[in-house]
Amino acid sequence: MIGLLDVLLPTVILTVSAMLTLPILTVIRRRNSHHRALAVLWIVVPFSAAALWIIHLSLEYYGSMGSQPFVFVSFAPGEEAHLSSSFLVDAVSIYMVIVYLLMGFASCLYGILYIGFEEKPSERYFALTFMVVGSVMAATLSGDLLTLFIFWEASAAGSCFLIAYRKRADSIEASIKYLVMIVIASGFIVYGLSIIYGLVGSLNFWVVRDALITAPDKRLLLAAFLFVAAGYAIETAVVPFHMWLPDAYTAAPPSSAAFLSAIVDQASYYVFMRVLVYILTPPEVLNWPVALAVFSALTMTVGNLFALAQRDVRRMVAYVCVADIGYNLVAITSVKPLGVMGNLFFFFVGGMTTALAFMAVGIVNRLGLKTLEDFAGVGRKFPLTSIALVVAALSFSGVPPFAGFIAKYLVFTAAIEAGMAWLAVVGVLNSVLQSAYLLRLIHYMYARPAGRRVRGGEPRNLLIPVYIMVVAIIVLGMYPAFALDLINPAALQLSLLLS
Amino acid sequence: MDYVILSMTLLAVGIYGLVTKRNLLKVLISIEIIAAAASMNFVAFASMVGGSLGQAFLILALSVDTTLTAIIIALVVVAYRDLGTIDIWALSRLREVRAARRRGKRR
Amino acid sequence: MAEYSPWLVWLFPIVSSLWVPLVSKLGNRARDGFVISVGVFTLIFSALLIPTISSGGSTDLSVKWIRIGGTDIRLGVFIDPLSLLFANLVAFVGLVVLLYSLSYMAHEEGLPRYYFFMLLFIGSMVGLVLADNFLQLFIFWELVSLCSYALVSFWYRKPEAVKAGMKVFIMTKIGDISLLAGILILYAGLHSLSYQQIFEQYWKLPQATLTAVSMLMLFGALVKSAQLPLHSWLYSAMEAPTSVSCLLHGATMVKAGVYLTARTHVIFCNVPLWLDSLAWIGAITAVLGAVLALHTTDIKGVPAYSTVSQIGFMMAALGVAPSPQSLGWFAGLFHTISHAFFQGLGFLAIGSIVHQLGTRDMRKMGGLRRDMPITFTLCIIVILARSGIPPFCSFFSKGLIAKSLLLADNTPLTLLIYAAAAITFAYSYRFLTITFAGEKSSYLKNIKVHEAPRLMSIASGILAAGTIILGFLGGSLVDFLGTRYVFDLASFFSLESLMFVVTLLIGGLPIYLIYQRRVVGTEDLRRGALGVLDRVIEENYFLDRAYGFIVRVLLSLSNNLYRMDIRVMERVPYFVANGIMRLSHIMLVSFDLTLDRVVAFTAEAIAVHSVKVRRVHRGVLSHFVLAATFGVLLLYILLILTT
Repeated sequence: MIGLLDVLLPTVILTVSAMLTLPILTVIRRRNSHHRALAVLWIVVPFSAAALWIIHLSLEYYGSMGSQPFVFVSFAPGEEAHLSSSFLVDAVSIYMVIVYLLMGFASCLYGILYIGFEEKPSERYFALTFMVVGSVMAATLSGDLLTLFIFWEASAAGSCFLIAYRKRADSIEASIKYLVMIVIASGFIVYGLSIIYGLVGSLNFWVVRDALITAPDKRLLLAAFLFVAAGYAIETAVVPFHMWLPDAYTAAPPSSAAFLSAIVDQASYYVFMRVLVYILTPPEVLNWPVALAVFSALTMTVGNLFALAQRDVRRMVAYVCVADIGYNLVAITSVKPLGVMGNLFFFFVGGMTTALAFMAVGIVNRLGLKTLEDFAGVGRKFPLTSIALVVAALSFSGVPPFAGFIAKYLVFTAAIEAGMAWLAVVGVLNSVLQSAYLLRLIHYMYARPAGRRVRGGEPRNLLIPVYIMVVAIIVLGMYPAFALDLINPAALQLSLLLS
Repeated sequence: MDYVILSMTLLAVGIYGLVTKRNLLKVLISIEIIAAAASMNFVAFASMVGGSLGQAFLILALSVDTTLTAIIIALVVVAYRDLGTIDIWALSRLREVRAARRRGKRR
Repeated sequence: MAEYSPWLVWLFPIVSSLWVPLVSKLGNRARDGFVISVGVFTLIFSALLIPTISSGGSTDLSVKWIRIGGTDIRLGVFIDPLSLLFANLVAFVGLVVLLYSLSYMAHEEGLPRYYFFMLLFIGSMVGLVLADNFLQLFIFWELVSLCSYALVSFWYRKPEAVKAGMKVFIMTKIGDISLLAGILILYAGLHSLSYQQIFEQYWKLPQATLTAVSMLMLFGALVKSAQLPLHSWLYSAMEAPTSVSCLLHGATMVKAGVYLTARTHVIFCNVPLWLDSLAWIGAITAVLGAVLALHTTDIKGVPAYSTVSQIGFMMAALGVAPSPQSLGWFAGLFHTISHAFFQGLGFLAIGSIVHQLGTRDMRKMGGLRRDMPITFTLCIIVILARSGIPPFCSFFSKGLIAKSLLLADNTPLTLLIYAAAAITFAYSYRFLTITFAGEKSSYLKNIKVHEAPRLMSIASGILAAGTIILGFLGGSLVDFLGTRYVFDLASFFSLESLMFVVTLLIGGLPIYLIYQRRVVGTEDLRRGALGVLDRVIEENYFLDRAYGFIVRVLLSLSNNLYRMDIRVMERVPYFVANGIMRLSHIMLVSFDLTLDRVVAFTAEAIAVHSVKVRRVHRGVLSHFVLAATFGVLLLYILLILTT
């Protein structure tokens, strides 16, 4: 039996340790020796505590899954359950929480090594990363639209600080823009939720879902969908709602960009998927997949074309993030178990790959090298970093031994199964485009002579989190069953739901 | 129904303000108008349905909103103090200016 | 050992490739020994597989890899005569090339990288031919592309080499994508990717789907095999070290397309369109490729375009075969093997020349026969073998191709193939006269030329012996592949073969007159109508220009779109303002003044605005909101349209 505590404890652990981070890092800083080791240890402890609890939760869940694939945990059990705030544990959310933990750990490690905790307000930075991971986890486990909304906005508020951390002109501007977009999005969402609440009288996922299937008024439903989808589209950065994303990821410190693309981005895709596929599933209620398919084609194409036009490498990676959203949307629009599999695998792989790219680019950025021309000759001066970047690039463009290939394969198969072959064609053509500009980057790194500013050695310790990602990408590419075994139950559940 | 029309109008006004105003404070006011529109719509629908969840949600949504607005205000203050402007166009142009100035300092 | 060899034969080189950087730390000799022993073991493993199957049979071993939806995707080995033939060919040519590289590449930098990719190349090609499902095939297919990218741009300090590598990767990627699309459609139709299930169930697909799949896969195979119109990457790939070119032409990259065509022949021979396009593209490529080889002045261009042309022969033969048991199918594969030998030998010989002279321009060469007698002999063998003079292997394989075309009763195709054969002799002969005959050129007088090192000669000798022996092994090969044909050596010495040889002589005659007797100067030939032709060939049939144009359009599109993204956002308020101003003008006339005031005021506000906006470069908040508003509208319209 899964209790409220089982679900909430990981979030509580991370939040409490976020608050403890402030005094603890101050104490560590006063000590004379072993600064860095202790700081890293402080990252490890809360994450492993949360991981233990998640393992406990998943064992508990999988132990009793046969009887009940969707476990609801409510603040007010009994009759009133559908009116209270609640949590939902199923294979999808458990998978996502595990993914956040793994990627959160790697990117926090990178963060503490990159930002350097000697820097004065850095304890706030680490506290916020804990907080964001915690609230994203709670958002993922939430079982009604209200809980989802609240935890999701909390993580958005946290990520805004991560963008503005260095308080440079561009990062402050970018975070203002980000936040304004988020507030507009939340306005839209509340607007849409109000209509749904008016129609249904509850915000619980399943109650909403059942009620919508028999909803009498299509027009109101359409308005509700419009606002909710637009709101979450802004937060997910679907084209044409995407414009905050490149600015934010370019202006943020590289460690924040890696963290956000690994965690918050993937979580926003998850939320998009959960709301659309699980709550608004039956396309006979509202035929949304075609509309979304158009957006997904637009997102892929615009993302890749704009990435092609960039000179700033980090901005290019940011546009690759935008293109990734398009690929995710392809899978979402299929509304098939295979699509869910593709999605969940793509979340993981896409998050790792973008995070890896931001981490590797960040190492080079430290020297003030930003544009493609600056990257000339980096391949020889920073061999290990460059190889990591090459791995990320190849995984992006879907070259087989890397995990990106399996992810794209799943996504396109899902699209074809759903009868949207044109979308798969657009996606596949986009892959060619993607490999073109990524090869251009590789070309600059290896074939051009190095500029004078390329000097100094590679920071060894920063390469640890980078190579964790590299190894994970290769292993998942060779043997994707590690992740797919976790995903399979989720696909089965969706087919249960659809039948 | 009247409430819905009113909230729609407020939404439109808010978006209009966001598109046309360049002063950050006015942007902030536009955002508040959008939030107010959403909340009001919620009140309208919740009163139709009855029950307590609507009120609870409204309070939570308002608090979330307030939090976010507070953060924006903080950022606006930082922008004004550090960069000396609250004009959004000036801000995005400032990037280049500041970068140039910083480069000058390094030399 | 034998029971594991289906797995070891491709896993072993791939896994060993990872060890190359480590072994290299032990010293050069250790690395060389390691690499050669990996090559030897790969060959042994693949040879061990031959006795495991009888003629025409097949075995399928597989383990579960991943589970997608309801279907398992398995990782396996599919052993039948076709896959074994290719696996052995790859392992053999791979070993020879590795031997050759020991000497050829000895003084290069970055050898760990070189051997790493070479072993990975060999391993993934073996994996490709032994794969038991289409997904696995595709994975290795891409790996092969990746390795060739890395090896073509091995000399990464040379900008041309890096560019060539990118060209190879991107052009073949277009084909890969087409193949992937075919595979996905096949999967959507049959819910399986394994060869065996697809071979049994393909008839369940509607004819239109089958045609679509066949054409997509054909395109993938043709690009990989450098057939027209996407053949130009193969010439660019000549920037690679010659040993790499040898492997790439002889056994790995371009042969993957032939393999795929032969492998899927059993399904697609039911699609008439597929057979016809295969045969026609093959025959036309055979001629046009040979013409390119006749024209080039680059010494490596001759074998490069020659490969394009020879693969055209194979494709034409496969295209006229009504079923995988018929003669055409066998002839195509037989020519594949003989091509591997004579073209591989050609590259090894040319490699020695380039190694010595440091240039690839044939016009700077001449009179080499005295300085490099062994290489000269090897080149003569190459030429005889390539043109199809008896008793070299290609005489038999080309004879069979000609015979299968005659059997198919397709006169235009037969004529094309005969013409291509004639030109083949012509360009080979031209290459020989320019490089080896005549007096030493002024360029050569300044450098000292030696014979190639012994190891390189040994490696070349192995292949040379192969070209002679192979033709006589045709009989056993026919049995092995299970073709319904009686391979009789005597039948080759008939009137038809005489005609074939006469055709060759006709092709050789003009070359003899022009280059040996110098009846006409080459400059005189460039005038008049021939000059136009010269230009067309020089420009590679204008195909490169067309591709360049496409790429430029794409680049400028993306740049302009990106700029437009900014500009449109700036313009929109302006347009809106303009519209409102016009409207307000009309209102001024018709409606009362107060209303007009309000509208005009708004209009003014926006207009003032847009003027200011245009000065700003990127990323202003208002634009974000504007774009988002448009997004909501678009979503609304789409939803209304679809529900």
